Amino acid sequence: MGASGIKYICLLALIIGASLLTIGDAKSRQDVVAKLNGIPAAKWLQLVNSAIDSVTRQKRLEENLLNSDITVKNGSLSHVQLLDTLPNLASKQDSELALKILKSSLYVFNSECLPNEIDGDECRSYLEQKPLPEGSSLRTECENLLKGNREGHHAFRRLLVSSHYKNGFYDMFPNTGRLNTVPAAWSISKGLYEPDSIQTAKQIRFENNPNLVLAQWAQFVEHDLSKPVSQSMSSGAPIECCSRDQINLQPRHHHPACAPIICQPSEKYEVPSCLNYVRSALAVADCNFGGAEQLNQATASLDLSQLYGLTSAAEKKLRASEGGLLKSTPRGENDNALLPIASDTEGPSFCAREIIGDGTCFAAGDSRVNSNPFSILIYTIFMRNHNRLATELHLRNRRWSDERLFQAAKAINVDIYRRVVIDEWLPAVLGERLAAEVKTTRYPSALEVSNEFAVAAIRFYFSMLPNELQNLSKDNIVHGTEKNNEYILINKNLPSTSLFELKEEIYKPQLEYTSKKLNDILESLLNQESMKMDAAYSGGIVWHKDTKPTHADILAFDIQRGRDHGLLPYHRYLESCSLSRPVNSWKDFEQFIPKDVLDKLKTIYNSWSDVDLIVGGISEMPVHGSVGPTFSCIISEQFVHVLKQHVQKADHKYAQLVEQYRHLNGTKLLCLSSGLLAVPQNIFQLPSASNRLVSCEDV
Amino acid sequence: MLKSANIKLLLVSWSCLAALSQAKSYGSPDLDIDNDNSIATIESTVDPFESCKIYCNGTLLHTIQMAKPPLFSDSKTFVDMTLKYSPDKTLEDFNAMMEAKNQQPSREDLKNFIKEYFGDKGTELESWVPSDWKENPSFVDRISDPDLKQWGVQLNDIWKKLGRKMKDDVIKSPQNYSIIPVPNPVIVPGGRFIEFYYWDSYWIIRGLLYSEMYSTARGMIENFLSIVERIGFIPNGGRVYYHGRSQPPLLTGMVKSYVDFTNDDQFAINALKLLEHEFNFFLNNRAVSVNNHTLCIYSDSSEGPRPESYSEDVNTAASFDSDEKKEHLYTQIKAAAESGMDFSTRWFISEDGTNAGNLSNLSTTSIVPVDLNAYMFWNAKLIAEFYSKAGNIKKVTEYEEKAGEFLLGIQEVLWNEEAGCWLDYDIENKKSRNYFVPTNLSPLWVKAYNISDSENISAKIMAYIEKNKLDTYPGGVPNTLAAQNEQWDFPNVWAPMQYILVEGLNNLNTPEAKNMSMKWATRWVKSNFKAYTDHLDMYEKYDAQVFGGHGTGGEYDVQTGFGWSNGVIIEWLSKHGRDISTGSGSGASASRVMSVVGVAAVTIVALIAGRVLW
Repeated sequence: MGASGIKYICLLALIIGASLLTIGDAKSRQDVVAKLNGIPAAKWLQLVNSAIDSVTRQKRLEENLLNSDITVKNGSLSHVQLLDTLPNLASKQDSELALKILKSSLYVFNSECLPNEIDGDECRSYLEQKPLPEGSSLRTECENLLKGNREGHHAFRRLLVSSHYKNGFYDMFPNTGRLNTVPAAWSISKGLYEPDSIQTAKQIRFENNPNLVLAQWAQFVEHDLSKPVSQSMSSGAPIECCSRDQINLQPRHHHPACAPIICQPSEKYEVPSCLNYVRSALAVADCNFGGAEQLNQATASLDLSQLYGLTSAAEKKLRASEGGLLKSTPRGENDNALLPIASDTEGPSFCAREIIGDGTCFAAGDSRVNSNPFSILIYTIFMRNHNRLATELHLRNRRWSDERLFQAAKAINVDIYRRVVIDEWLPAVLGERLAAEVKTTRYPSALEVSNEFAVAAIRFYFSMLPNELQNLSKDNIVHGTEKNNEYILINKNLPSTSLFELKEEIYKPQLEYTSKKLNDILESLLNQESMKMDAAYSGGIVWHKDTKPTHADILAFDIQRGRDHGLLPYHRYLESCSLSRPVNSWKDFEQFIPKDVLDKLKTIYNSWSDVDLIVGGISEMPVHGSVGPTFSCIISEQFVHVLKQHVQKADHKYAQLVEQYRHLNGTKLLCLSSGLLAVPQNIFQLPSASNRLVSCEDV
Repeated sequence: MLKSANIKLLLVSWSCLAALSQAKSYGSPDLDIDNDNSIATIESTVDPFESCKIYCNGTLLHTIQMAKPPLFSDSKTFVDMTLKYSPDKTLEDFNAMMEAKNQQPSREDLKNFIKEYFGDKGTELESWVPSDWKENPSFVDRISDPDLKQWGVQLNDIWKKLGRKMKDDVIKSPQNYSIIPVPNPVIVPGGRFIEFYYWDSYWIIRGLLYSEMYSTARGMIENFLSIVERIGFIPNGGRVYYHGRSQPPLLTGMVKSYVDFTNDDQFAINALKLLEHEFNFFLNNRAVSVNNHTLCIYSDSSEGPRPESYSEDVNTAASFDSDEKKEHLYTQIKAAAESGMDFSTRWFISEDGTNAGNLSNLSTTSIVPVDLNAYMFWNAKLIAEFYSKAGNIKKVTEYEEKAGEFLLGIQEVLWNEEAGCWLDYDIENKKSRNYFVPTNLSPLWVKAYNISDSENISAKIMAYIEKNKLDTYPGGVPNTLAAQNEQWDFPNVWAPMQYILVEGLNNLNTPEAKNMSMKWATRWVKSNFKAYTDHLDMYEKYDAQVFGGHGTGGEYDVQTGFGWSNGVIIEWLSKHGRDISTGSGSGASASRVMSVVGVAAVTIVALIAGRVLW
């Protein structure tokens, strides 16, 4: 597909635009409009009131659930997942209002559209243009919300305009009932699973293979740009959709926002296992009726909000209030400091522990900091970098206030981060050519993060994560031996030892975190090859067995979330990104998906038209970078908007200062913020003859 | 532990025997039911509740149903399994196994025991295609909309899937089954409900009659009569574990329906003794006195949790500290099951006398229900009517009097002038329960009001509907207005309740009430049709908020089939099929097809253009 990824998106826009303008023949559209325009004002008000009554009624149900103790327990699997999708107060408020608007739309749909043979898509596109009734409390509430500070509470954008819901508004696939063709999320993940031994055997060693730092940065970038959060009860309590034994709850304990990930075992009468899935918080896009849009508790520019916090209030909590510094846990030198420890009251928002205050738990601007040792490490690096910069600035400008030092250090830190992401990481993911194209493409306006990027494309890195991080630190290997023009690493003590098992560390930091440990992890990340980007995830992050799950299944979760967000099926994106013609059969996937994977997909899905975006995306063979053409297309599109945001929202206050630090790249960043002695030129590739180590002493 | 369980078992079989003897004392020897030969053999040789040892209570039931994590995803599965050996041998071997495992069997041990001693659920039943099934019943001809006509044909087809016949061995060795043997094949509700159910059968039988399957309908009624003869009343459904509870008494109404369709008055006359007997069962076992009026309540006579939802009930009762309080709650639970509305805020009484709380607040026996008393009135009226056909003036007078007493009680205790409707009455707090339930309007259906007062009642009922916004729901009238996630609460909608509302309003015979009745019937038919076209299924319950949406909540997933939903639709297609059409008119669907073609064309054009541009 090469250079044409972005162009195809333009084509796509053309197609969508054309079909929107002329949906069907004009007559039926007019019929719909005439029919719905004929609804008297009083009726619109009544429909909205019915919806608000129904939202109010839900409170009784929620009280019951809480009385029956059906909520997320500290330390449970659902707690782990909650931290990945933890809403803040403003998101909850947005989502509650959005739910009222959605319910109002559904009342219109069920009362006025369906009985008159107006289908979901027709009805929704009419309602999207229809303002909430003048004089209704809902309209007032909505307008007030939009007037307020909306930082970081935007709706995800839909790449292909339309959503994919059973009823056009909100009902998720798969179907229940006999016309059930779409397989359940968990069964897809199980169907794709391969034992780790097979996966490792398939691993082919290439020159310039990506290392695990690439996956780690993908996660960090995700944390910055995207945070779909889950809905909560109106009291703020988190919603639980499974029993404590990880089996499904009785229907009477089912919250309306629940869409648990269920696995029906093959044995007759057996009890299904259950993983929590709560539907994502909704966003208020405007004060019109319309279908569901999900909320992004993050902004579309690379601003290190995951480190500094999304709001100024959150940022304030993280600052040391002197010298422009961020809070940290000091360990002698600055490049040894660790992240601050979460206070006891913050504990449950950062770590999934049964007992609050038990063990290490770091705090940062995002609940996802403790999601694994990789994230802890990279958050730490940027915290150290900030504090190093602030200290430097302070030395040079003794009279600068804390505020000025902080803002200047932050501006420089963000700029370094942006350059590493755009100039180094993006080429590793997309390939040089497409990454360069991203920088030169210009769209008329900067838009929010796309749903497809947030819940599918950027999630590619999970496929690259291994179960264990091997200890490839300098104590364990002999560096830099060059033999016959090949640069190889020699492992000192075979078999290799591992630093940790991923599944043990998710939101429960067990390692004893010291500066040295972080150095070991970083060194190993640089030196361990990432798993192949493919449809098989390692056993530590999926649950492929029929037994009671003791950890989550990331792939099943991502599939479920894609459906929750109403993403169109994979083929629609393939058509617009790469094929520029409609897909007609499985055969059309052949040039993108390896045969063995395609054969598996055929046994899992009844139809090629059902394949979920995330599943198709991870199944594709990478072409130039680390991901296949469809994910390349979605990621590149997103970064065009990100770059545009950077231009539009640029703050030139510290431009000169920032300029002074332009020489800092990924290698130098890692050198300066860790205890490593040498770091490869390209931090996203394994060290090799073409990717030599740079000594940190020279930095 | 074991001993006390055995004693309880003994008590249960005693109480069953007592019921049996009561039945016999009522049943007159000169009963003339034309298919009673098969019954006689069952009756004379075996205790109909022998298998209760296994399925109704005891250590075996407790151990298996309380396994953690549960052995079955639906608690009803186990009690519907068949026995491979006699109940006594099964119990003996189970006790030995428990002994061997030190009373601490593992989940695996229990699984193995079940595998060895129990057969799959429902294997005692064979599917059965009704011999009187008609390919083209005439109700289909009365439907004008072609889509609805097609649907009518398919609904008629479903009868063939819901037919069940007991295997011969059930009659020979009933002790090896939880099913209660009956002589004739039946139409079951469907889904997890693989046996006959009492009140469901009223709407099923009406559907069968509209489908011209008179002998299947008659066979089902005869089954119920034979059960009254053997057991003294009709249990909730066709399983021994329902032995302590009945369901809303609609047997007499079934006989009335049959007679209306066939003009076979003799059938009703022959049934009279047993109909009287069932009437007396409620009068003798379910009556309470309120302000000097005798009225009936729903209740139960057995001990322990519901066997088919055992662990659920034990958990519900966990908050009570004494066995006595737990037992009291179990009675309230089973009484709610007797009402057919298991479960609903309708049966909750909180500390402060409202419908707040959860299942542990169930107080069914403290609530005088409108529907049961309306049915009692109706039964008395119908029995009087049948006696007048038989020319027994004395009995006519006796039952007219009984009907009059119920009518008076309904007026004095249940009618609430302030609300402008009938309301359930809370005996504990001595007050009306002003919460909407469709059954509040059930007197309209059975005409348990002064017909001369129709205008006045109609005005009040229409105001009541307006006030409770009952006409604002796209998927039918919800069962209550409290979102509790119980299956007989908001937003669930049930076919029999829509039936009671629609037929009741129609009976009022005022233009407003008749309009509303027709509007609701049409809405119900169209919404069910939508659900059917989406999923090819009929559901046991639907969703008031979703046009074409099915219900949820309660303790099991929504079931499909479904007997009473099919029955109600067939009746209304038959009655109103000339006037109902799908959609806004035939033009809309044609233009919808056009728009699909249009979009495809535009896409193709755009794609071609795109290629050329490249």
